[in-house]
Amino acid sequence: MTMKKKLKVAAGSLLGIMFLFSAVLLIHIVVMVKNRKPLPAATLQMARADFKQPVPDQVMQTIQQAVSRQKGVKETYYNAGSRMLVYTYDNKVNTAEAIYASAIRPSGMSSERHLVSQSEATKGCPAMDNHSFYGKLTNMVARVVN
Amino acid sequence: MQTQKTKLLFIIAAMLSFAVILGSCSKDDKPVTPPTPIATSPLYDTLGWFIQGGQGAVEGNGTKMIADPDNSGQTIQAGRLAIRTVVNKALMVIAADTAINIYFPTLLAEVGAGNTTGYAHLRETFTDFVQQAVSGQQIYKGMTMKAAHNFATYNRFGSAAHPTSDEADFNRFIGDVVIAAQSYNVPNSVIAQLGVLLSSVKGDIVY
Ligand code: HEM
Ligand code: HEM
Repeated sequence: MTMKKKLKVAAGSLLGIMFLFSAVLLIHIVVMVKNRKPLPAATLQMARADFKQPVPDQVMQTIQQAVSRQKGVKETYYNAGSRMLVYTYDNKVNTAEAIYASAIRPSGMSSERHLVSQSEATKGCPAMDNHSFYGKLTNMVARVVN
Repeated sequence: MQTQKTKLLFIIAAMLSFAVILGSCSKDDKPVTPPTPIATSPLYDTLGWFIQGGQGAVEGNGTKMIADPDNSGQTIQAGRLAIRTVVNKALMVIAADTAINIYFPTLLAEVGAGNTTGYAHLRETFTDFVQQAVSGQQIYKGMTMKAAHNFATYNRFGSAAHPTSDEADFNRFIGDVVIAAQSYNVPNSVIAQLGVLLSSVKGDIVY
């Protein structure tokens, strides 16, 4: 076989493999998303604030009420032992920062909004992240087949 | 050229079988046909009755279809709604429990980063599991409890430092579910029955 012919075969194989992988990926996505029902409260997000000192019950009650009044907030929960306040909210309507800034920081109690580190943030599954390339591709396929 | 062709054919065959294997991972492609009549139990009825305000007769309330507050235009079995409500709260309790939240690194990182699909998915599978345990309806399609609760078989569970949970973790986890149920004033007699059911999977999770 000549050099040129070998190159042709190599290039052809490469293209073929790329095509097959893409097809496999697409088929996989179609199979996964076909007939997938919308998840309830799919845009519900959870956020956490860590308090640096014990918070008196009365004060915590006021804070939780203030948080609950924010747009999109669904529920709050405070663990006095770990001093963590957890709140869930619809991330289409509000952000964790805004809720923290308007309902938790003004309480006068020293606290910090919990943030995930960059390395933690990349641990998730790309197919489930609506902002990633795979997430977008997945949503696109879902719209086409469903 | 003949050998090249055979090789190429071989590669294509390998890819196709790979595609078939990936495709067979799917669990969601067929709609489940609910068995008629839909299975229920006194506990399931009690939960469904409770979430609707606890008025009148208890019987039949587990499988009664009511509007889903979290999914506009959809209906949901009242018993399932009660279970899902407690499950959703339990995940908040767990997120604030430093002894247990270390087992959920991927989930909590995803949620913190604004990627909510895994969280929504877990609320569903967890609800499916409990609904099946309580009502007898065969709806759970997730992993076995053993596979889901070991870092070696499911990398969303724990970490290399905490690959499996022990008995203390398990009891604490049940305690977090109880706290969640209590926050809705679920009667202790009902919580006790739930606790017994949940404890029955201990052997698959602590090992
Ligand atoms: C080595 C690679 C991969 C493996 C082993 C894998 C395996 C899986 C498994 C086991 C599930 C089921 C999860 C569950 O619902 O319990 C799943 C779901 C899914 N995968 Fe893959 N996958 C891989 C790569 C990908 C890629 C690259 C994409 C997309 C571009 C993708 C798209 C999806 C989608 C859309 C779902 C459904 C998610 C949902 O239910 O919301 N997968 N995959
Ligand atoms: C009554 C006891 C328990 C029940 C009924 C239960 C049930 C479940 C179910 C149904 C799943 C989803 C599996 C799937 O998606 O296929 C799951 C996942 C998980 N469970 Fe449990 N579990 C229990 C106890 C525990 C304990 C004691 C821990 C930790 C200490 C734990 C940590 C986790 C984690 C980290 C996941 C993966 C979450 C993710 O999706 O990222 N579970 N469990």
